Amino acid sequence: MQHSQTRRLLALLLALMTLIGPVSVRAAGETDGSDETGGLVTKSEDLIFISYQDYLIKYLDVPDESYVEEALAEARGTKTFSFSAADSVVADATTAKVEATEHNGRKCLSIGEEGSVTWKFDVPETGFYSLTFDYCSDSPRTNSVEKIFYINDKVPFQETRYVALNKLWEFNYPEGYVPGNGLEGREGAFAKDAGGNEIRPRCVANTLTWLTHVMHDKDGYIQGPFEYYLKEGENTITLDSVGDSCYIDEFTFGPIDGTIDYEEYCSHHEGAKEPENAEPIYINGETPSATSDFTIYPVADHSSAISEPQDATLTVYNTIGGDKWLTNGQWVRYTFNVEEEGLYTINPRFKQSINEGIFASRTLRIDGEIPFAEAETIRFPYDGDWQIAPLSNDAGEAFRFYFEPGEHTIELEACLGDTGIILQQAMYIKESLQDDYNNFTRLTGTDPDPNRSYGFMRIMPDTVADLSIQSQNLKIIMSDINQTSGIKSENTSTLEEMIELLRKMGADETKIATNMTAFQSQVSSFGEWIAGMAKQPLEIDYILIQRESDELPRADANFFQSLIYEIKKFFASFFADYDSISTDDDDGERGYTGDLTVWTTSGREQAQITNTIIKNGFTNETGILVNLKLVAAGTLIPAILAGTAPDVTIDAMTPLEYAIRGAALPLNDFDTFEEVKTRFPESAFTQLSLYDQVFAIPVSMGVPVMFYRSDILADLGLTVPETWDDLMSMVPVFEHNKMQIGVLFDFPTFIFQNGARWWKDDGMRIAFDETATLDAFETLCNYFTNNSLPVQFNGMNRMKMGEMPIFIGPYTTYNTIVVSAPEISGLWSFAECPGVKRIDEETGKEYVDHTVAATSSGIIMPRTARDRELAWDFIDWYTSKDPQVDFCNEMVALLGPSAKQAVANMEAFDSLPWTASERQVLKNAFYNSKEIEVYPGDYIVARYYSFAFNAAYNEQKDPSDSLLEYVSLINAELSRKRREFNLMVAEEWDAVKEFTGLDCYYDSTGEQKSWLNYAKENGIEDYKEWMDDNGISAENYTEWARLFKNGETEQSYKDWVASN
Amino acid sequence: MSNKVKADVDRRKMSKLAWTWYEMKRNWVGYVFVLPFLIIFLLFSIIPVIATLYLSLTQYNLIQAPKFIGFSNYIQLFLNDDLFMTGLKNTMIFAVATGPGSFILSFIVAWFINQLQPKRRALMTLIFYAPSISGNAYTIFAYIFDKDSKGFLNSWLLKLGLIDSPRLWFSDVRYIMPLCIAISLWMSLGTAFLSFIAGLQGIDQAQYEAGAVDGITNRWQELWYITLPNMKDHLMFGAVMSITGAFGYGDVVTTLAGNPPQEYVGYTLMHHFGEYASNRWEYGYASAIALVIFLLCFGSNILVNKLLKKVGQ
Repeated sequence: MQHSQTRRLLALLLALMTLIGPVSVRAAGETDGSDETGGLVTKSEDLIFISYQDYLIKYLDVPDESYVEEALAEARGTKTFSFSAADSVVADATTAKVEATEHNGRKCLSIGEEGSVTWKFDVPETGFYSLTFDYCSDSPRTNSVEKIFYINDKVPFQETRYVALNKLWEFNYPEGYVPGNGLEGREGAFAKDAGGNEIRPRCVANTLTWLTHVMHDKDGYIQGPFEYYLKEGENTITLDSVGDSCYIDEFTFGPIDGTIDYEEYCSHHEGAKEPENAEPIYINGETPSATSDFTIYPVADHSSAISEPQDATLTVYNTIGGDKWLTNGQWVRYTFNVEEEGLYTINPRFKQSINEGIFASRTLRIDGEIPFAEAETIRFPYDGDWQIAPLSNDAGEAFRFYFEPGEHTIELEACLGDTGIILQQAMYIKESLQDDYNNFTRLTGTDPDPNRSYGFMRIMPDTVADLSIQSQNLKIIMSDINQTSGIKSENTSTLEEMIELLRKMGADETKIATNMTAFQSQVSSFGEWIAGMAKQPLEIDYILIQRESDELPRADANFFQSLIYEIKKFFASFFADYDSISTDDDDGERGYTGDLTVWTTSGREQAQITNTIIKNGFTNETGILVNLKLVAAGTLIPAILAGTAPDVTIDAMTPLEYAIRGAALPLNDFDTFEEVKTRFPESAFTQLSLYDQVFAIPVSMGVPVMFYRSDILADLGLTVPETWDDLMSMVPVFEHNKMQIGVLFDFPTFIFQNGARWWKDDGMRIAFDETATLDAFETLCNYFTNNSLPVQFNGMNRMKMGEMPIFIGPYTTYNTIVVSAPEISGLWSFAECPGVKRIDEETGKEYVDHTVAATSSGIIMPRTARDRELAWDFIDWYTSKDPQVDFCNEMVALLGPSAKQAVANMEAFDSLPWTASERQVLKNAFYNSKEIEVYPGDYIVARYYSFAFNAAYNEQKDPSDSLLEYVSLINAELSRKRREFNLMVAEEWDAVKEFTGLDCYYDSTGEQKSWLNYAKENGIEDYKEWMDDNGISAENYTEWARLFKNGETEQSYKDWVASN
Repeated sequence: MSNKVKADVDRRKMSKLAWTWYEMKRNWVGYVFVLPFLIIFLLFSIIPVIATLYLSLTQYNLIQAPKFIGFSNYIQLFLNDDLFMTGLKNTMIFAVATGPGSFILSFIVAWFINQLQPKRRALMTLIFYAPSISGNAYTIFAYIFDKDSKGFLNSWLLKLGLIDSPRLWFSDVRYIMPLCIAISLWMSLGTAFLSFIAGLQGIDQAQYEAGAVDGITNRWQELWYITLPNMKDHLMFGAVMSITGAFGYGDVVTTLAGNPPQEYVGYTLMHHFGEYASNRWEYGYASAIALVIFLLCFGSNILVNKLLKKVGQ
């Protein structure tokens, strides 16, 4: 409950944020300062988020932003003071798990991943201070440490609310390798596979090094550290954890010291000369000593013949970055050695071909410090080709850096540079327009009638006026961009269209309704434009540190070099072996104790990741060579027939299809099976086992969850629904606001929640003729027919547009939303699927049953496995925590956040980068899930219930009637299919059951008398033979049942059979 | 050609077989030229057909060895499989609608286009031929007839007020058949159409002049007595293509209406075949179905051949 309360609060906060956005821009753009949201703001003062600019204006007490700089210089606090994190905790205001401890030689406070911590401290003098603290991550998990920051229980301003603390990532280079200078310094950095292709080293979080965090704008719009206004006396700060856990040692408040400019820097080193040695220092881009993000990794560039090193056939990692190194704050660090003191230029060979016509910016740090103000934003211009140029100022004059002999580091950090401020303004405009749009649609719906007069001017004059205002603001932004940042006009066409549209709509209210769709899509593409402008992609091949007077090498290959390279590439494509993934064959010398063949049908890169993980893990621990092969899907069936199938197949789609045909081996008799089983939610095995035999160990598992727009729900005064009734009662409210909700036609979930069942007689019959099942079906159908929910919908898109504030989808949709809808980040969340209210029989308490239907798939051992124990060991290892975590993290690193895997191992799941609350929701969903059993012939079921639903929807048939129509068809197919596998069919079972008095065909609980046990005990191998021997048959059972029902005989079936 | 038979052999004294063998030996170079194709044809067409014939008499799931069961598959197929009958019925409907339908359509369009000037003719040919070159062009209809209220057609109809809730086009039994037939006709101006155009252009203009002299009074007579008889081979080719196409029809339905389509409307023999081969892993039964499709194609081609012989008579 506490979760949902905080969530509600959060939703409210976020909703307010969007309201406050326009205020600040309007305050900047308008002089009279009257604004429609003023009333709202004063009402909930505690929740106000003002912008940093307004914060400074407010506490400096100046009329507008042009006075800020001057006033701030005077109002800065002069003293620096710090306090220890471990000693100043206010215990009664702290809910997080904290512990004073020592980490890597420093006294510090360890902070758990949930809850908040408050510190108390004394300020010696009223004034503005910046805040710095040192932290250290304490877990190797891939999510960053995220906090919400408060001063005196209030978020001081919007931009500082979210604090993201990067972890320090290092590459796990092969043993003994230390990044060195020159191409020879690269030797040994990459392990190689069988074909000689280099293998990417894995990224490991460094949990020992202390890092310094200066509070600043994490989005990069505002340059420099934040300064907070603190009054003399006692104050508190609070950090509310939302991400991972960490250590913090000491907080330091102090005045910011201005950086010197380049002129001053030069004057400091006036006496220094250029070094005498002409040999440049060569830094390999692909072997950094550390990065800020595990997603920044070496890239194999094949676009240039002279990327160093380069190979026409093999994968050779020669560069770093590209489209993975583009978010503000992401940095890459290199270490190098300077032998001779002097002034050097820094010359990267780089490529910036992603953001067309725009430059990318980087902040340069030398030995952790920005050497001079100009180094804060260094521009890397756009070009389709590779470039090489010294780091220089905007006018193109190269900077000369002074290095003393010894080891140094340089760090390049992505930053927004000069576009930051402009983009922030754009952001405010976008929020304001989004708000206008929402205001309009509240009146008109998303699809307004162009011929109707809505009277916008009368009902919402301010909103209409805002269109013109924002159109003006956009014009200012556009000219700013063209002037200050040299961005070419082709990148501002989105803005031009937007300005024109806003002008039109603002000037003539009759144009509003007709242009609503255009407006909406313009706002959305404006959002994309902002996101695009904020990207700072850069790829680096190498960096030369040399004398200014020395000549630079060519930036890109000449015609002949390229020609030869391309010809080589073409011919090599005939000979390259693209399938072998594993590194080496068992040549008997390496001392392998055995070997296994493992197949995977995934992509090549996934397979390489899997291979690396197997090499480092399984092969390393057991000395068993694993031959990983990438095969086409569908190869397994013929391979099993031909006897050439592998020992283990990692991703078999339908394990039971193999199992009933004897192609997959049962796994429950292996020694460690029981231990392996505990790693997964029990339900994950349902679809992988048949009659008590488990044929696959789960690898991935999916459950549906409910996604919702917290801002819209808060706006409409709704809470996140707990039950289906709650959800359905919201439909009218949404409909009134021209919104819809999206519900999957998920019949299995409804079966479980209604306490109904799917199968009868252990898979011999379908239970669709039972009242509970029919009720469930009817309820579900009625949602679509009576409540007119859409049958098909693109939830992610519609949620982004705000038309579908709630939809249910597989939890992996999370990935899609994160990646495709960054403009609503923070405004949506997910919760467990709605459930039904139930009374707990033992305690008598009411609870909500959130059971959902899950699906799972797994890893199987084909019957061709040579050494079964060994194959089992591999399965045991592969489904354990570490390899699964590694695989998931590597996938995210490789393909971005959209590749979060639906891992079934719950321990592994704990280590994935979900926030604590997200993890809780998902775990609940996992443990509340059930799966529909898979029985022979089950493919026929989904088809018929969807026929029944479509008939109900299209032809208004009665759902129950149309479902009942199919029961006999389904049962007939089940029997037909069972006969193929020599399994007892329903009609025979009726007779056998009556004859033997058994309870069920098979029994997983072991409490009932089941046929399978009976057969085992009595040594019955062929049930048909046994039936014949005893004179039992489906036909004579029918005959007996007829006689018995007519009351002509009281004889039991057994006696009756005996007497005939 | 004329003095092929040498004096040292007397054909009248040889059996037919021996004569053929003798001829083969004499013309061995020709056979060597045919050999590469023959091997491939044998390996990939003849042998699989024979294998299918055998497999259709077995119970086979690709994993366990085939089990010979005689004609049970066929008995099951013809006497006890309602879906097969549905499939057969739909296949026949599609075959009649799209086979002759597309054949006639191809011809009429080709005939019309042929009346145009060469440059315009080339352009029109391209326009009509385009849908069938671009392979899966029909997938566009999946977007047009999207079930979502944001689907092209639904959103327009909703906007115009013609419907008040989105239609589930390809999940609605009322629309599946008509839509699929219309789409297949649209797709069908393929190879047959091209060969018709070629055929029309190959006709000697002098024949028309001669026809006019001989008393042909209208275009229909011209078509029937001159154009069509001149194009018999092209017509034959076109017919074979259309009919085999019509019996193999199924991809369009699968792509647009799913497999199986709602209540098996539009369910064809190809679906039935796929159902048993991939869903149920019953390859023996699937082979029986494949063989039936093969025989249907074969039979209808013979029928067409006979019909075409009547052209111009």
